[in-house]
Order: sequence, then structure tokens, then C-alpha cells
Amino acid sequence: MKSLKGYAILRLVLVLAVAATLPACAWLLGSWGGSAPERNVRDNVKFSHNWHVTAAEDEDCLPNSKGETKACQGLNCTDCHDSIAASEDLNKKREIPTETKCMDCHDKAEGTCDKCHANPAMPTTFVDDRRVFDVNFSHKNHLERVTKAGDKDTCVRCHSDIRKHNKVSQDMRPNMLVACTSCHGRDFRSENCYTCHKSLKSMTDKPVRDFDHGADWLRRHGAVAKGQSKVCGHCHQETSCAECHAKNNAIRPDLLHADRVDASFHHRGDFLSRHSMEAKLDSKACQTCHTPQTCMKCHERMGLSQPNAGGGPSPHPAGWMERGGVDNHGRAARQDVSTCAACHDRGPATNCVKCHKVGEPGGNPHPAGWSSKQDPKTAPACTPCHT
Amino acid sequence: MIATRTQRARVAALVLATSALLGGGTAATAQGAETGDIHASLKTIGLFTGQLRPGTTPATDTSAPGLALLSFDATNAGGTGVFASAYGYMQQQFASGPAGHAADLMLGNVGWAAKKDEIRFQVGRIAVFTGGAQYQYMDGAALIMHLPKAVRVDGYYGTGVYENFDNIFKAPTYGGRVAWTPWELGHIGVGLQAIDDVPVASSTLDYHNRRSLSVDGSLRMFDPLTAVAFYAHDLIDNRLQQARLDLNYKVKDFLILHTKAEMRDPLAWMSKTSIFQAFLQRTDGMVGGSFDLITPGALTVTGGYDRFIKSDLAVDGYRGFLEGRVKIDPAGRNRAGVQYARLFNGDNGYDQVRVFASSKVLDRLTISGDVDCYAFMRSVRGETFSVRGGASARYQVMRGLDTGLDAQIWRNPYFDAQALAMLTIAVNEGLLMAPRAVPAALVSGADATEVAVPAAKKAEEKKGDDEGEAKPADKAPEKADDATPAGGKK
Repeated sequence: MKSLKGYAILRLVLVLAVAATLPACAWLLGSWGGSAPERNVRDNVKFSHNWHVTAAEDEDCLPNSKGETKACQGLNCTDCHDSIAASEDLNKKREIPTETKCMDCHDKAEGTCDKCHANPAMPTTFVDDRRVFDVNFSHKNHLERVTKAGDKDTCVRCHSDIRKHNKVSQDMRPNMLVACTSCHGRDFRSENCYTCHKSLKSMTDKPVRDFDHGADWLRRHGAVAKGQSKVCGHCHQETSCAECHAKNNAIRPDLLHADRVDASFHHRGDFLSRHSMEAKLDSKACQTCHTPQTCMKCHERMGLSQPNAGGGPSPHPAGWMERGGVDNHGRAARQDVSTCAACHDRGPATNCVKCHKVGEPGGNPHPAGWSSKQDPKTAPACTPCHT
Repeated sequence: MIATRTQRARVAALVLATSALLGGGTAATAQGAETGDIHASLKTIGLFTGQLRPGTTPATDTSAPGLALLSFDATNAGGTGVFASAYGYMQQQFASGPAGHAADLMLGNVGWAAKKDEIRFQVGRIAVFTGGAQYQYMDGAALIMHLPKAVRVDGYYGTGVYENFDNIFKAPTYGGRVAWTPWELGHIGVGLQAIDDVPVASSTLDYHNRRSLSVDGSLRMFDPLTAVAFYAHDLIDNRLQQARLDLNYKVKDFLILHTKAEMRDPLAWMSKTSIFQAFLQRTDGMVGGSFDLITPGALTVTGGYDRFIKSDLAVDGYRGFLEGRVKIDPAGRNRAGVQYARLFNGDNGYDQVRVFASSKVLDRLTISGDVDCYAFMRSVRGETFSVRGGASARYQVMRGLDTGLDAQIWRNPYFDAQALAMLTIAVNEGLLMAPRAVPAALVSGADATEVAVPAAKKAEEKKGDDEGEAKPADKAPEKADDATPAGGKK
């Protein structure tokens, strides 16, 4: 009892130590890499797409630097984004108009800077430098495909809300789940992310940013996914979860996706030979999907379980009944009793209490420190002995 | 008797789920004309196995099931309305094997989402998260509500779906969870679950309820560091069921660290009716970590190590792995990797080396292969070595139609030699993937103006110039109906 408590305290200390050490290490590692990159202090150019594309009833635009007065409302997209139709790679050129373009209509008269600049003291041209643009996107190719004869609304087919925006923000970008999947739905469904995305690291979706699907993700994703199914749902359909997690699957996931040699699967490779080792080490992982009946059924079918042995070899090693031996059944049972249950959990005639009860050679089955809130006279697990 | 009742109830549930799915699918299809999309896929897999297994019965076992898999998802991009999902299979055994024919629905549900997905109701064969990191497949219903102040409430009720057809069906499973997600800091949730245990099929014992209370949370302490934790408490035996802490730290874009620690009752997910509960009362522990190192080149190195601590045994176990993978060309058409893994459970273990590679030979053809070798620390059925090799080819016949051929061969302690071949034909089709209509509010009314690409603009300008008409910008806007793209449904 005492040693159990000692172990529990030791483990608690260990967990707390890990929890405390990691942030410290992380901070140190972060420090070694130098100071965090300085965020650009942006001017936040004040620009309303809504105002600029709306047809003006009373045009009161100021004369530009050349003294000309031009209409700065009722504009077409291409009046400012004049080379967008030839744009093949947004990573090379963002196609965001520069100040020179603004000067076609606006002037630089003193005292008017704050009409466009949020910080007139440090005016800058709008540069979206917060994130690396990581999408393989060619306006040229897309415009050719989505433009129909006589079509006058090509841009809003993707930038559907652009006319409503009164300020520059990330929200102006097309909604992937609406705009892109109209045509790229198949890529989206089959998780071919890299058809469009160069990298997923800068995506605003949380699972990728916060929970990179990297090392050991197979064993970590359950804890992360809990309570965030909607976040997972950005990329994953419910059926894609079921491919691995459905309890009555027809085919193992590693066979279903046999060509995905770079992916991780629990049962990949010679799982048959190693399954007993894996189960002894981490039986809870098995129980995530399987019940002891899984083991029982297969062992029965393969002639490995006791009731159907029929002269076949016993699954137990030599020395199974030797007291103190390395292969003693008691030692193995204490290590992973759920494995025993696969074949032997069929009532008192088939399991340990045949021998392990008071008055029999095995004696009292309860380990030191045993406690339970169950009523021994009524609880099904107790009644075989406690009559 | 139990099995009969179980099967009858299961068939009834399947019929119900399938009916609900068909109805929901029809409704979703009808509604999908506006904002939804539907995806369906069909895979046919032939599995041919020849084996030689000395010392067991039967001596040879060849199976050749034809397997048809169908998956179906219908959702509304706007997050409202009817949605449906299904994933099922039909199997026909063409040679000696465990079953002549079989069919089952692995997932099949229909639901309704309202208020931009803030309220979501699902019925049929569904998956829900229960206590701790567990999930449960059940025939039942679930309701998720996103309330004001970032509060989320989940509730579910159903009967658990377990492996295969003849397992216990009647045991109800129900529970709920309340979670609060303040800003971007993370979340905290409290859940209560009740799962009736599943005794063995032949057992005459009654069921014994399992109740647990769980608390889960996540915390983003500063941007690149995230902590996820949960604790589940067994209310029947008033003891720890499972506790876990995961930390994830992105040191730099090229280096990500993960650590995890877990304590658990090794019998927490076993039936409380099991007599084996009497033989064990301890808490096992696990501490581990892993890393991702992505070099500026094309090399990615990952590794991990987990230590298992079993308190009443003088034996601990561990597992670890180290893997390197490389993109041979910048576009990633050719990739290769090597993996080393080691596991020791206190009694036995193995060292594993695996080499894999894939190559996109042509635009439509991808081939891949791997070789997997194990050296066991102690012999398994007299053998200390195992090897398996596999090769796959995938060819895209046309967009949406793929074929694949997979072959594997291995030698291990159970089989002198065994081989497997699979032929796959896959159809992946989006049924309503036409460009959606431009929202009417944007193109109707006096404030709508023309937004056109230069080609179209120039053409119209040219036409206008030729005919002496006003420029397009001066034209009256078109009506919403006229703006509906060709192929778009309303």
C-alpha cells in the first residue's frame, strides 16, 4: 500500500516536472534562436472596397497630383488591379495596387494624408507582410476557366463579399470552403491539400497551426481532437474518421491505403507477430477500438484459444505454471490481464477463480490494497465467489 | 437468446439508419442545389490470400473477398440545413474464409444544422467523444449547441456499436459535456458519461453500468505552445480512470516538440462484470516525447520515445522510433524514407527497420513500395525474424476514376510464406461541384456595378465603341437571375 502511494507521488512529481520543464526549455531554445522577428508596424491603409466600387451619386473627389479630377467611385476591379488577368503567381507579385495607382485619383495635398493613412506620421503603402502567401494560385488560369461568355461578375464569383468590405482585412480573401471547393471539392475531400497549398503552416486553421500533424500524430491526435471536432471538420469528413475508427470495419486501414507508404498506421507491417508485444505494453491503445472479444474470436478461429484448442498448440509458453518463472502465468496476468480475458473471461469455470479463491491452491485473488465500491453480494464480478 | 435479440435489434437499427440516411440524403441533395455539395466514392477491392501455416488448424486458408465500400458525405458549405454521412461495405467471399457474405454500415447518419452550425443535431450511426480521449460509435442521436459566451453543450444517447455483428447491442450509452472556449486561450470542458459494459457474448451475467466524470482543457499559453489535458474519474470504483497531459511547442518553423504524460487504470475500459477486475488494481503511467525537424532542404527527421511504468511490477516497457524522409526532387514527386523502431514490453520486444519509397512516374501513375524487417528479442513460436515486402501502383484513368494494384508478401513466425494482392477501382465524384451562384444581393439593385475581367471588358468596350453605345460601367446592372453561372443550380 505504502509503495503504491510512493509510486503515485513519484509519478505525479514526474508529470509536474515535465509540465514545468518544457516551457522553460522552450523559452531557452527560443532565446538561442535570437529575438523574435520584429513585427512590421503597419500603417493600416484605410481603404473601402465598398465605397470605391459603389456608383457615386455625388462625386466629390479631389483633384489628383496632376490637377485632374477623376471619378474615384464606381470603379471596376481592373481599374486598380490592372494586371490581375495576367497574374500567374501571387507569391511573386501580390497584385495589390501601389500608392502610384492611388495617385491617379487622389492628391498628396498637405493635411489630407489621414484620408487614407491611419498613421499619417509614418505613411506606408499597404503591404501584406504578416504571412507568407502559401497558395499556388494563378489568376490568369482561373479567370480563363471561370469566365463565361458575357459574364460580368467573374471576380465576385470567388471574392463574393468584396463589395461589402469597408476596410482592408484578411476576410477579403475568398472563403476556401465556399469559393475554392466549388471546383476543387474533389481535392478537398480527398485531402489533396498540396494541389493548392504550398504549405499548411500559415493557414489560419487551428489544427495545422497549433497541432502540426507531425511525429507521433497517430498516438496524439485523439487527445487533441477531443472537443474540437468542428476544427478537425475543416479538412476531415466524418467518413474519413470512420475509415479507421469504425468499430465494424471491413478492412484494416493499412490495407485500405496500402499505397500510402509514408503514412502511419497502427497495424502496418507484420502486426500479427508483434501484436501480443504491443498489447502487453499498451493494452489501452488496443481497447480504444477493440474489445476482448476481438482477440477471442480470432484466437478461436485460428485454433489458439483453449475451448477450441482441438489438439492445436497452446498459446502459452513453457513454464506457464511454474512458480516464480519468467513465463509464469500470474506474472503475465498482472502485466496485462486484459489479454487473458480475451479467451478466459467466460464465467468462473474458465477463468482464474477456478483456482484463485479462498480454499483453493491459488488463494485470495485480490491484490494488496484492493478496494471497491461494488457490493460483493450483488455485483456480477463478485458473485462467483462471494455468494 | 441474447444474440438473437441483439441481431434483431441491430437489423432494425440498420434499417432505421439506412432509411434516415436515404431520406436525409435526398433532402440534402435537394437543398444542396443552393449551397451544398455531395461527395460519393466507391471502391471495389479483391483480396486474395494464400498461406501456409504449419501446426495450426486449418493448415491452409485462402480467402478472396470481393469488397465494395461506399462513402457519402453531403454538407452545406454555409453550415446550415440537412447534412448526411454514410460509410458502408458489402463483402462476398469467393473462397474458403470466415464469412460467405456480409454487409454492414460503419457510419450512417443524417443531421440538421442551424444558425450557422451553432446548433447541430445528428441521428443514426454516429461517433461521439465520451470521457477522456475516448470516442464511441453508437446508434443514437447527438446534439451540439454553441451558446453565447463561447459555451458549447453536447449531449448524446444511443446504443454502442461494437465490433462485428453478434456483439451486445442493447446496452445504452449516454452522456454530455459542457465546454467553454474563452477567446483564443483554449478551452475547459466537463463531461459526464454512462456506458453500459459489454460482457462476453456467452456470459449470462447481467450488465454493470460504468459512470465517469471527466474534465478536459487546452491552453495556448503563448502562440507556439499549446497544452491539452484531461482527467477522467471512475465513479463506480471512485478512482482514477485516465489522466493525460500533452504539450506541443513549435520552437521554430523547422522544429516542433511534443511531450505527453499519462496515468491510467489498465482495466478502465474493460467490463466491470469481468472477474479479471478482481486481480488487478493499479495505475499505469506513460511518459513520452517526440519531435519534428524539418530541414531547409527536403529532409524531415522525426523521432519519439515513450516510457511505460507499471507500478506493481519490477518491469517497465518502452517504445521509440526515429524516421527520416526525403523529397528527392523539389516538387516531391519522388520520396523515400527509412524508419527504425524499437519496442520492449518487459518480456519481449523487437527492433524494426523499414524502408519505403514512392514515385510519381508519369502524371497519372504513382508507384510505391516498402520493406519491413523485425528482429525479435525473444523467439516467437521458435522464430526470431520476420520480413515483409509490399508494392503498390495507382493509376488515374481519368479525373475521378482511379485504379490500383497492391501486392504484399511476408514470412513470419506464423506463416512460412503468405501473399496478398488487391485490385482497387475507386470512383471519387463530387456531384454538385458546379460554381455557385453569385449572391443576389451583390448583383441586384442600383448600387451593383460591373466587375469584369479585362478580356470581357475589352470585348464589350470594343463592341460599345463599334456600336457607339455607352461603356459597360454606365450600363444598368444585370439581375441576379441573369448572373447565375452556367451549370449552377438554384
